[in-house]
Amino acid sequence: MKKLKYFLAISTIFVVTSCGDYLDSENLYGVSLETFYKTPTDINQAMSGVYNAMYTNNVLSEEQMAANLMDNMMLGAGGSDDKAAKWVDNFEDPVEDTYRDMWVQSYNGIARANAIIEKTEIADFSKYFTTNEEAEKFKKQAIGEALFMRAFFYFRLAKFFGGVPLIVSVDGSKTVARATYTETFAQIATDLKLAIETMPATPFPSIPTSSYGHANKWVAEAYLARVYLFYTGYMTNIEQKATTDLPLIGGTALSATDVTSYLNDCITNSGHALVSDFRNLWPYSYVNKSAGSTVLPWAVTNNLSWAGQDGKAPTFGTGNLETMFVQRFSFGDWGWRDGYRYTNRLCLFTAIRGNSMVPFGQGWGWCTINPKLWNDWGDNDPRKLGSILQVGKAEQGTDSYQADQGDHETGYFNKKYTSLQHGSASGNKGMFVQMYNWSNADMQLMHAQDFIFMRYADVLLMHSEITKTATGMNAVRARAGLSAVGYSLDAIKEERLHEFAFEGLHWFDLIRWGDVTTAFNDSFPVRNSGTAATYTVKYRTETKGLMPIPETEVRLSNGVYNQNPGW
Amino acid sequence: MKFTKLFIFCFLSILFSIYGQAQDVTVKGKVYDQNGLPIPGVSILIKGTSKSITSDFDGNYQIKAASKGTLVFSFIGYNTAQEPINGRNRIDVKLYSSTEALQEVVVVGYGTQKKGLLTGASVNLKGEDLAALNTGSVMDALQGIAAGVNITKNNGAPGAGTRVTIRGLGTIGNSNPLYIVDGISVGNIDYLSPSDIESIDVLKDAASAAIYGSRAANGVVLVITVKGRKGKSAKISYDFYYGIQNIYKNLDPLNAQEYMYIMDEGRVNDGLAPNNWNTIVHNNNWLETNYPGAGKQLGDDVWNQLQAGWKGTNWINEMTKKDAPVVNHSLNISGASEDVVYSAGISYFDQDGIIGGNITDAGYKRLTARFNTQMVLKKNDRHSIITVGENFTYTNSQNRSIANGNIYYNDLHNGLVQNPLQPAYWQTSIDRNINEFGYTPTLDGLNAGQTNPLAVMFYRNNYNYGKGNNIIGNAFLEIEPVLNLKFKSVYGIDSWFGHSRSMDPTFHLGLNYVDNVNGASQSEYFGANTTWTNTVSYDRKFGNHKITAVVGTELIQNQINNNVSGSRNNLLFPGDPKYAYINNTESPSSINQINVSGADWAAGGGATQSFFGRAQYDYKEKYLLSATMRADGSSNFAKNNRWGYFPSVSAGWVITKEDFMSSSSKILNFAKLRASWGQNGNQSIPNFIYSSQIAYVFPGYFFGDTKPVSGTTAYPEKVTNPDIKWETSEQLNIGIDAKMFDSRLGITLDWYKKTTKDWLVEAPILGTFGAGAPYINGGNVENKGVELSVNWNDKVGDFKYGITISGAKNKNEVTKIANADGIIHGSSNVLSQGTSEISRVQVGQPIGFFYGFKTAGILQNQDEVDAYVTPSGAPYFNDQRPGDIRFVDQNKDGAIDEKDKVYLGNPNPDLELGIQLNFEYKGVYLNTTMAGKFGMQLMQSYRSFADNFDQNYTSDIFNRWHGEGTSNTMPRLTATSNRNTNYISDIFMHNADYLRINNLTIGYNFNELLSNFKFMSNLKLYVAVNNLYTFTKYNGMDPEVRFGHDASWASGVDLGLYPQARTVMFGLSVDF
Repeated sequence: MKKLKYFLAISTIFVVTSCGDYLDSENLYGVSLETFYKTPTDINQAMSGVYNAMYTNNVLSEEQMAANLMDNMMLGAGGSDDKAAKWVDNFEDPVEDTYRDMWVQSYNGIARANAIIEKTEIADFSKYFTTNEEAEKFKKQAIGEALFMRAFFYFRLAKFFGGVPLIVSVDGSKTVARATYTETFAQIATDLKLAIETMPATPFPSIPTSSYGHANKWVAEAYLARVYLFYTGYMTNIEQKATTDLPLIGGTALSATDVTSYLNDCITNSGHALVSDFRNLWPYSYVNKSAGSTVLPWAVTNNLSWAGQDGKAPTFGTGNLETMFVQRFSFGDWGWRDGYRYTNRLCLFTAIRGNSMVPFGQGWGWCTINPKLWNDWGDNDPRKLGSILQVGKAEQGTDSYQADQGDHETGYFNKKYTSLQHGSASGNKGMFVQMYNWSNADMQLMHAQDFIFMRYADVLLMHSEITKTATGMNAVRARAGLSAVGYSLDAIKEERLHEFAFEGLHWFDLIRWGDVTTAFNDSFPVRNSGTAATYTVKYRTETKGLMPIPETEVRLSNGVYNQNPGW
Repeated sequence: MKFTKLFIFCFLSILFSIYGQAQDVTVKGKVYDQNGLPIPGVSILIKGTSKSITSDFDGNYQIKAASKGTLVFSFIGYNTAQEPINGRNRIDVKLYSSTEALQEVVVVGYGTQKKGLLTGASVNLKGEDLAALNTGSVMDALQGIAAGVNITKNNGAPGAGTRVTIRGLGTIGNSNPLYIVDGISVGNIDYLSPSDIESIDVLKDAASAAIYGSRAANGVVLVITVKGRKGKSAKISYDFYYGIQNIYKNLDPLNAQEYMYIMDEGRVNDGLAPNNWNTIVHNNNWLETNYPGAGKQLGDDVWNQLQAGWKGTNWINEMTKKDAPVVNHSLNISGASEDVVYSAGISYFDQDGIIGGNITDAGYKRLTARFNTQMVLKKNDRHSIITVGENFTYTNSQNRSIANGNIYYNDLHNGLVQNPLQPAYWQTSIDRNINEFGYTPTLDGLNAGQTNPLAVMFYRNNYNYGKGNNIIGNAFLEIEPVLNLKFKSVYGIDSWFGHSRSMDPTFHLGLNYVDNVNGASQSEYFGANTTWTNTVSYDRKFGNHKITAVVGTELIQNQINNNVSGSRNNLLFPGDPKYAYINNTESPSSINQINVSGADWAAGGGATQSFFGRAQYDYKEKYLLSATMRADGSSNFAKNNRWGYFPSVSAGWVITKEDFMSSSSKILNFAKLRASWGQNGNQSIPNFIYSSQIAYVFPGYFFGDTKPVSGTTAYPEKVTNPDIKWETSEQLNIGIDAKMFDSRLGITLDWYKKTTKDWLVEAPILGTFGAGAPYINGGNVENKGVELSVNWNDKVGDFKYGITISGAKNKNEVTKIANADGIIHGSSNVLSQGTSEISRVQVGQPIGFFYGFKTAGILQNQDEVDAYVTPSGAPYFNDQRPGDIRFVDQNKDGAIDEKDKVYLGNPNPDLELGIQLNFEYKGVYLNTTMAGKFGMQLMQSYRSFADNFDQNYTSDIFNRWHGEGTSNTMPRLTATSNRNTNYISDIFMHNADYLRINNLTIGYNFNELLSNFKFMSNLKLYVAVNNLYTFTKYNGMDPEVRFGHDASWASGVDLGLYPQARTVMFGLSVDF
């Protein structure tokens, strides 16, 4: 009897430990794919995720960094340990995977966009809005924006790598071969066209500040023109297959006329306009105001006042209707995961090396500037001093500059994207750190300046280039106080060089115009950390302006991806 | 009911039979061993009762017993003897040693077994032997003692922990063995004081470990804490030692004059003018700007001192604490009454750090308290029926460490590379309110970015205060309703809780070393894992056949894992850490002055659930057979892949029990052949790999005018792998145990082959997947090896001695990685900022092998330069010159590039050796333990040579190439970044073979002198030296280098590793 009791007790315990679903668990700190993409809030968070893919850990994989290094108007430089900057500058790639972060992050962005495009389409958001129309409008903006971002990432991939694998659905195969150059651009053009047709035509000044940073119909129109010019220029001048059409999926194509009508729509209806003074686009125009005293005398002399970077009614600045599409940057933090990539490293890397002055602070001295640009640029153009930072000038605050701190020294640095700082109660601190009252004053993490991908000035210049008329170009010239000129491609080339210097566009302009083959014949003296040297770079035509497909991706594809020529 | 009556009847009748006949006699006697030497501590039990005593130091005993009773004499390591009293008053007994310790019972999974019947490969160690080595943690003591168990100290810092690898790395994930303390799995056993440990059993082969199925793929370490012993009266023992620690081998950074000479040589080699040092030391812009006049004053002071022959600052000496103390007390009490056995222990360990101990009070303190009891609640005359008990250990520890990681987080490295021209302290900095502790501000004329390494060490580490606690243990119930049928239910808990706070100080010591914002942060954590195990076991003998079986279930859950932390800027009472609490900060004026986080990582549930069984059979203890099966379910896998099944079989044949061997039994006392095969599982991956999860990321993206605060952002973080399943480690083991020459010689030999299949690995995937790589069952790893352990114990008169030598050879090879690349890459920027990866995991190579260019010496002269050409006759580099390295063009394609990088070396040893020697003569004893590792390489770099050229060298640099024939391994100096060093090559690699005398103890046991003092015995006094000497050709501080980089599988990278101290100790132990 007693034995039986024992056995009963024992069996009970065994049963208790054997049953029950102890093994089921729930992830409280992440949402399951099955339940996500079901509410407008989910879509907004997922949309942030798409834009988040613009950040890359490797600075060389940042489009703006790589494009500036490769451009003929910027050198490699940095210190003697910055071999990689010089390799990119010189079209060399002795190591592997230099651009892999760009490749991987672009596809991450594409996958996130694919999910929004598919899931938003089938979702029912009516209960989250007062009317069905509002719900429909939300969906259209979301789908259109995701289509735009997908095109944005494919365009970035195509510019650097040529034809790439096209992944356009959530569940489709991910192990596909590279599409052709034309197929890739057809995908980009189709997405942009659909994005234009899908997104509401809200004029930029009417879009609430809280939505600033989101792509819209006007951005898509401007990008379609940029894609059109790049594709037709590349096919004509690099592939030697002259064309004036941008293909769409399904065999149709967009002509110059089609693209012009999009640009006309943008010019007429977007509400975008040029900032009155070109120099007010750049934060150096704000540094005196931030410091509360004159730390940049030149800005006072020229009566500069920053337009700001939050759209029509920014927290800081007078209002900016020109900037159309940016990569937003804030502060970094070494303690966050990949925390350094949230600050604008173009500012850090191209700022003056080994000199911490006010207001131009210390950086790594990459992308020093080809003296030819300085020499050939008329002094009557305020954009010259508005773009190039001269050292040894008291009015610029650079009179205490000590030379020979870095390589490829020419005495000229990037002024649009640079390190800005001024005094505070506790010593010199970054301008943005003081503006935003941020606690981490690390000079490597303090560049909360957005990187501008598209300005309205580009819409005007592209309009001139596509229509072969001078109106747009002369509007841009007029803003710089320059007289009107007649249309010619050479005039456009010079105008774009001066308007967009160091904005990551000139390298791609050189390619599409076919000038890339002749642009790198310069040879001139520089100083390498105290030693006199001669600077030359070797562009190799066989690369057709493309970079190597990341070697690891080629290996992981098991040879399905063929490497680009010349690499 | 019937049974109870029977039970009461039997019990009473025995009781009456004893007391009824109550013809008590007093029996005296002496217990000897076969050599006629008295044996103290022998348990003498009156058969059929629980009355027992132990023999004293001289083997004498005296007991009152019924004249018709029987005395049972037992002692570990000896055959038990029974002597009927038959009215005698004196019974002298000779105990024969059971063939060494083959009768000894050792711990196996969920039970115990006679050592002689083991069919698997395991190492059995006694706690007291480990405690005698006076190491801070138990695992430290195992080094060199257990063959096949590779123990590497993470570094020499107090409380730094160890990496334990059993029979080679089987995975690049978690390769730690499973630690089981009193049946409860725990993360590691550093929370235990060595004096708390009764025994450690390391289960190495699959069959021994298989009963632990899941989690056992890397081997199992079974720990039993000290228990009371039945039939023993209370024993109180006390151990104490005090030691002083000093750096064993110091590096020799260049002094000021040497530094300036070497720096100038680099410049001259590059065609530059030598430095103007006077200008450099005066060119302190930052200091001059912020504290006008101070920059010049510092320059004057430095320059004048240099002129007066000052040798500069030796930063390593500045941060070294001399004669750093280490102290340990442990008090143990154990005993038993009729139905209760108990053991309690309390110990305190306090070790100061030799690096930084003088600057930041670095060190490790640990208090442990343990209480183990076991009570028989019901019993009958033959066995206990209900037994309950508990084993609990509480630990409180405080670890104040210094930075000890990669080149950006390593205080010792900072000291090694800092220029010697900067004084460590500069009185003016106190007087002028530059720094309240007198740290010299940056000498920024030399390098604007540099800092004072002492100040960095102080401010980084000094204001962090934290304590951790563990409560680990179990409560159990054992029911034995019928003899040898036992049911046992054990509920165990492994809990941890603690708190920390820190003050964020302010300082102004250089351009890049300024902190203007102070603050306070606090954090608290609390967590607990529980294990509930239920087993039923049954032993039965049928004639010559014996069967033992156990079946059971186990449920392991993480019940709570709570972490809350916060910080706020702007202290109300700055400067005094006493007030550094979050409440004592100003009200925040902006969101970025606050930082909080909180989560309970266990709240989502999940568990590991298991069913297991084992059957053992032996025939006359001659033919042995054992089989186990375990089924494990883990929440880490999707429903249909949750369960893994892990079988094992093993067999043994005790040849010496065969009749035909009887003739040789004089020489060969015992021999057993063993073979085992089994599988174990590994499930250590993050949860939810199988299901697609949207992760919330921070920062996300910045829409609107909310900068610098980002909006909520989410995306699918990883590609889903619903098919992920258990990793299996399969192992075949063949071994032999032998005892020869009257058991004086013992030999254990094992051969094994361990294959890890379906390796859980995070292998890279194509970018087009659009999310992070998931864990996959992505490869195979093979470890093959041989282990040999030989011991000889003998006695010549009063001189006893013992020698144990163990060796283990292991070959590690990755045989498959299931992606097209076949490579898992290591980090770059390890040896210096701006350098490429140095270690990899790749098919056909050992895990973590070193990777880079092979070199073929230095170009000695212009002829050699001219001869260093590509197959087409062009020079490899346009600027190559004498003193440059001759890199090997492996593929002869005329370029030195990625394709020429090859295997350079292996950080894992081929051979490990352990030697133990014990001598004893009339109470004087000498013990030593040595451990060695052979056949491994390591990579050494103390300087960030690719970007910080002004960093200091060690005096090894005098062996550089500086003219024909001066060096064939170390290239010429340069003043800038140069491919000679920037191309990761074998010039950084060194052989790291070593043999270390881990411990040498000389002591005296006062037993004979104290034989008249009954209250006290075993008084020992000793002097010991830990880390006495290391035989090695390696030129660094220590050839034992655990550090790799971010990846846990990497090791063997010496960037200036916290060295192990040499400790001289004095100790005493005594029993009452």
